[in-house]
Amino acid sequence: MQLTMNRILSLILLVISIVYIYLSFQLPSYAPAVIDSDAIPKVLGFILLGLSFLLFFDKKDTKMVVDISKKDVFYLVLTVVMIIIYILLLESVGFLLMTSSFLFIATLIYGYRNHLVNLIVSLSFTFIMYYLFNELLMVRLPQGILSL
Amino acid sequence: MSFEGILSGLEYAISIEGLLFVLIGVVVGTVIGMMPGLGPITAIAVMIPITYGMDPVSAMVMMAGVYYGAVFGGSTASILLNAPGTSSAVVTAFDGFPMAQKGDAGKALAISAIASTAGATVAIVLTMLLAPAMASVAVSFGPAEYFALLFMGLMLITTLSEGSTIKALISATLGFMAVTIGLDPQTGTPRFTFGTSSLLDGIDFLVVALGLFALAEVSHLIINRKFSRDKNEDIGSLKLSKTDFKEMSGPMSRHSLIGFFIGVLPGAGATMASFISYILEKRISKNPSEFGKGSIKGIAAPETSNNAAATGSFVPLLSLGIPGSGTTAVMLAALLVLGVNPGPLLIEDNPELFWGVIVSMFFGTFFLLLLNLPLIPYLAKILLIPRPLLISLVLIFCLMGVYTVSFSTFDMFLLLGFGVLGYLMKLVKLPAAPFILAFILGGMLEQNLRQALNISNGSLDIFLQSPVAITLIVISILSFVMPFILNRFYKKNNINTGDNK
Repeated sequence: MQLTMNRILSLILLVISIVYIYLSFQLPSYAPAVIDSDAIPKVLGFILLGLSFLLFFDKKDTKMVVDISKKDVFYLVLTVVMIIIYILLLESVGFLLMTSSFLFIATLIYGYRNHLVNLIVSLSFTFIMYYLFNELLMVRLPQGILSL
Repeated sequence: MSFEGILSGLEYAISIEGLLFVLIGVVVGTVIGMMPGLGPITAIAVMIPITYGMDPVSAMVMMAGVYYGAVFGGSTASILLNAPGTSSAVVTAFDGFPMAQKGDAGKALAISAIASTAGATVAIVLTMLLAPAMASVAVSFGPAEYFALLFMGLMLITTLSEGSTIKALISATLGFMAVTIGLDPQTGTPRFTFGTSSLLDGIDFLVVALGLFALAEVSHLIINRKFSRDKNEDIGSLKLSKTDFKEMSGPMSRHSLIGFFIGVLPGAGATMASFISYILEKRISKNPSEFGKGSIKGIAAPETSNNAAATGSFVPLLSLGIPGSGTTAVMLAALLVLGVNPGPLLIEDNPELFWGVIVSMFFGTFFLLLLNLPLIPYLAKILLIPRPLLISLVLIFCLMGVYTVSFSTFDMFLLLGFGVLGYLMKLVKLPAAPFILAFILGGMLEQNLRQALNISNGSLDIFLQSPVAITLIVISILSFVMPFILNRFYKKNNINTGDNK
């Protein structure tokens, strides 16, 4: 028996459905309800369980392989890391600094070499957005260390 | 049909506000739709945070404009780059790109613009006739009928979606599971919150839409970040001859009707309409061999059809409150946030919104024609925006979109999580549209089912006694058979409906 991509996927789904069913059975009951809050989740859990079996034995796409280069994975992971740093620092460092530097650095990393244009776009986009949200839409963006 | 209602819609549509927002909508939609990889759901999701401060009519008019603008703009990228901007424009590239390579890019763009306008215009007129009729039938629907209707919508979209039916069902089930997270609205029981208060309110649909679509689509751009277009490419003349028009008129009249009805059907949206129209046109053509080599009919048919279908998909949304596609589902969720309850009563309760959206489509289509005919050489320059810049801007747009709505960094992490999930789903070919649809319909489905069963005290008779509910449930079950028929249809015609990106 070959472990194709669909089979790996179906095993992951199997685990998800079992965990989900287990959690559904832990839900507290609420007596007056005709159909309690655990009914639909239980049904969903068993549907997913059944579907993951069907996928395991499905004969379609058995040759499917994931086609992605190591370099691309590197760039995707780098993107995730940059986003995490942005989220973690947004409220303490502030919108203006974080957004303009995110735009500049990310654009640089993805391979844009015209630094002047990059700098102008990063700064003007950030300031326009800041103005739009703070002044026109009355949404306060975090100011952070640059208290204006 | 009430003329007072139409008048109030017209009044809004020709007001400065109405014209401005439909213009903003179609311009933003066209621009985002042109970007290869970024589809209409991304376009709408990016605009949603901005609509939260607006009145519902303007918000809806603008979102509708974004949708059909994106369908329009998708074909520009198909013709010029052979890289469809949206999935509904995949077929347009079959004949549009060969024609552009012959040096007739302008002609292809003109055919596409005129055919799209024709399709949209016919569909708007049909919408004005059909939507009120459908609403008046649906007024008497109770929870049992609504459950059946929602169930049918969900089943059809899942079974009619491209690729493996099992995978589409898996995706829908996962989406339904995601929406069960949070407080149960009927009993107040916290479900799957793992004790955190951040999850009590459930997951915001905007987080799911932006993550699963926008972020996942950006990851596609990141992988293809080196792509750039030759700067000196000339579009050529936009003029069409009389014989060109003659050749277009047949497909335009046929496929505006076909596209519209496919769009009204829950589950079959603009993408499927364009495929079906292309196949039909090729089949009835006297010389099918010219298809794929730059045929005029090969561009006109799918372009008429996808725009007619995009317009047609507003019929179930406005008259029943049931979305017929992933895109209209996102719009429905946005409407609910704005305090509008779309359903059969919308036409009575809020005629300005109902008719305003439909009537403003005429103006939106007109603006699109202007944008796409005389202005297309300038608009095409947008495709020259360097990819790296585009990628970082979209990333920031998504992050800001979530933050300005919830002010919670937790939601931004959720967004990232859904982005990663969306990318992985793309890798293993799990379609994302059933997920978002089940996520948005799931809550309504569960509520209606439980309300219906509360009324009947737990007995299933409430479904058996309603002929409407029974019919709809039977159709949903029959829909399992449809994919097999469709697959044979596609195979017979040698059309690959798999992932064409």
